[in-house]
Amino acid sequence: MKITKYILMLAVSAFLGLSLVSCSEDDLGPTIFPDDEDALDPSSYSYKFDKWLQDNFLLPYNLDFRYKMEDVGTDLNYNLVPATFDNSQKLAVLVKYLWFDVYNDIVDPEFLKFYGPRIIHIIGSPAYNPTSGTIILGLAEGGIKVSLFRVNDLDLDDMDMLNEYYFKTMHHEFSHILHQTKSYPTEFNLLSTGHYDSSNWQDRDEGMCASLGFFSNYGSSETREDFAETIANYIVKTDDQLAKLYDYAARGWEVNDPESLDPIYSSWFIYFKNEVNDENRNLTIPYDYGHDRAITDDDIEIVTENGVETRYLKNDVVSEVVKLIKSGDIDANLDDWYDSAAKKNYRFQVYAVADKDGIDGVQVLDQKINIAREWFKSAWNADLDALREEVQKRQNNVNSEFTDKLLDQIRNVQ
Amino acid sequence: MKTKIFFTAAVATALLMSTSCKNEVEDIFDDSAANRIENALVEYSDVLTSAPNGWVMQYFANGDEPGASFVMKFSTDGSVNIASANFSNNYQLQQETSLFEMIADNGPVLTFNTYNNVFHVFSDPGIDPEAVGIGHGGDYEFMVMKAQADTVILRGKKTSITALLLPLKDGETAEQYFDNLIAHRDAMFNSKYNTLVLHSEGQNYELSDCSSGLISVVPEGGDPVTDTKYYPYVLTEKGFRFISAWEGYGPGNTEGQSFSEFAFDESGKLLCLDDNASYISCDVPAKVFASQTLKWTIDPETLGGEFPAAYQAVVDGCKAAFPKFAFKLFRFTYVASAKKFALYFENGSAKCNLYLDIVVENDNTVKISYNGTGDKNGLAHLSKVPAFTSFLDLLSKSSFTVTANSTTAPTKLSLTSGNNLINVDLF
Repeated sequence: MKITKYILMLAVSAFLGLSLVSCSEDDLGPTIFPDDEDALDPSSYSYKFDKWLQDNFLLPYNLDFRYKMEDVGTDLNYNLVPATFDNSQKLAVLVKYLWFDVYNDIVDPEFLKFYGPRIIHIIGSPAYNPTSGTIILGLAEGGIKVSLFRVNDLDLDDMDMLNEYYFKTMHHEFSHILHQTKSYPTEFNLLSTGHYDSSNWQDRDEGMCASLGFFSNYGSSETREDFAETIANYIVKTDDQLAKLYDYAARGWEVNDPESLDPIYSSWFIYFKNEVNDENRNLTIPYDYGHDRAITDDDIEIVTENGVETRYLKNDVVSEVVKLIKSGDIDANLDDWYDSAAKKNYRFQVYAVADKDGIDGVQVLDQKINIAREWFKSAWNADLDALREEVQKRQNNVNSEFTDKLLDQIRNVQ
Repeated sequence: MKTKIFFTAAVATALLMSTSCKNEVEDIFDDSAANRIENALVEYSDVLTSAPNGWVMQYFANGDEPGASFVMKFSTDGSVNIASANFSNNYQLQQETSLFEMIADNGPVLTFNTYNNVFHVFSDPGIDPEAVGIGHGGDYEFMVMKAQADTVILRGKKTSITALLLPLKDGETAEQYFDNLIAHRDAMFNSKYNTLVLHSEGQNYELSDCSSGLISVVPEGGDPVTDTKYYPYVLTEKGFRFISAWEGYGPGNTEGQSFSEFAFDESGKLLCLDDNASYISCDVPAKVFASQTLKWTIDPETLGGEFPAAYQAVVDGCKAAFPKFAFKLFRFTYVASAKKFALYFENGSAKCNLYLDIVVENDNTVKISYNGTGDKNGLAHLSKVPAFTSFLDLLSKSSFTVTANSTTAPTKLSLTSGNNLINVDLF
């Protein structure tokens, strides 16, 4: 009973205490943030460009084309610098011409509005990776932001460079955004199982990668990069470049010294003194003191005799090597080259390396494109080939003069 | 007893429960954090754009390289014109316009957010083939530590190195500023005076490689291996400033002594601004003249007293004796092979030496005398042209007072003796 009394007493005290609690309620004041409009200032140095970006990227696509670099918006482990104001403008008009307008025309005006990145952050320098010796060309982060590097090296008359550093990179990164939104068929991942190398892909030769069924050596790093590289390369590579890739894919490739830090891959070889034995078999040509290079298609002439095609090293290539040996500018075996080529006036017959990788590179490339093509159709109702055709048509127009005309869009902003 | 305990507990419970959340603490700041930083950004931008003639930025990309100065003109339209002549562009003036912005980051941050070839060369990771991926490693984003009309102090976001902004004088152009800077640099340091002395109370220091922008310092009496320290500096209007103040050290060091900035005072002394007493100098003028490493060419245009006539007699005498040749110049030099000072001269293609004794009598006085010998060419000229003997006699007649045009890197000396005057230029 006593216990009950004490409990009751405590309860009453608590109630009394609680009833005394007073909370003065703060009024919800105005926002603590400055209430200023985010309007562009017509007197600012960058107004025309900023207005153009607003009208062409921000309003139609909700895209922030960020050319004023914010270090905090990058990986602080890299030393990066901003892009120049001039190059930022050039890249911006080209991004619109070669990317946004293409999707706009071929796919759907709403497509990039929904799936396009929200931020394109452009950076003047490459991002050097000090441990692997590679540089990062682009980054897509969570389907939201695409970072493009090396904008200060922009060369408007070199479409291959423009593709390598920017537009192929953008198609690549955009492919990531798309497949992160709707997965691609997992059968893609099985096409090159066992042939990916995530740590040493950069040392792989593009030709050898093609024969393994990859569109680039980066594609051979892992499956999702493979998928992005398949789409990006298919879209931006010209017919000639694709034909060359397929040609490489059909060949056999061999490396001269797999242990070398700088291995040389070749699909051709010769026999010194035309003596067919392993000792005289050679995949390379000396070209500089202590350095060799692969025998390339350009070094070879095809001679047809009695309907039979035979490949030979071009005479001027052999003469060049002999001249270099005589001048002492290269470190080559005189017996191998000088005796067999110059003194004895041999011609070097060129042989194709046997394709021993057990992979039909051409078929794998085709299968990968087919999966991408079907996926574009089914997941996005988009025609990958039409996209490619439009990009190819536009790429043909791009040079410094054409870009300068595109820049009129910015110059003429009122 | 129990009742008391429970009563106390009940009262305590009641009191505890009656705490109120009434907030009686006054706001420390009179505005929200967001507004305060916004105001700071506007205020700091105003400071930068209000300097009538722009600013001079004294900048170090890293702690192992010389500093660089930039003339920066910030406009209210968000552009900044940056001009500089520094070691990275071989002191050839360059200028370019790019953008800047005051952003809210680590507090107010000044960022140069589009590439400027003059400025970003110090932060571009691809600029140095020896250190690809790093380059000079400098900053282009700076925390604003102080922003007033007479000084802006910035701190590099990555390097934490301080960059100082001082207003450029009214009416002075970037070109004039850098011309003046380079002129001061040349008056201050010359690679021919590799070692200078920092005179400080109790402890002197030997300063080497001063003209390189990265001075190596050894205290006198210290160990040249373990006691050598390296400090980069940036040129200032009247002198130079180290990247940061360095503490004095060495056997005779006075505690508390530190050195950060030096400038020429009115008397031409390169004075430490930290204590207004320590100073840097090369050897005294007499020793500079009698140096075995320096060569001094006589300026025939500014000779005084009996020397113009004596010089002309040599020129005429040479012409008479060697009609095909023209006399070119006289130079005081040291011939290492003969281990002798010499009066060197060129007549046509002939290079000739007549050996001298040069004795330093005190800090400002030397005695020059012909010691009767010379090399083959020198003696041949001496025998055929009597005017050489007269010139040597005049040189040997009495001691000369030596004055220099700089206390740290003289390029001109004046030798006077009564009315007689010889001006010599560093060769």
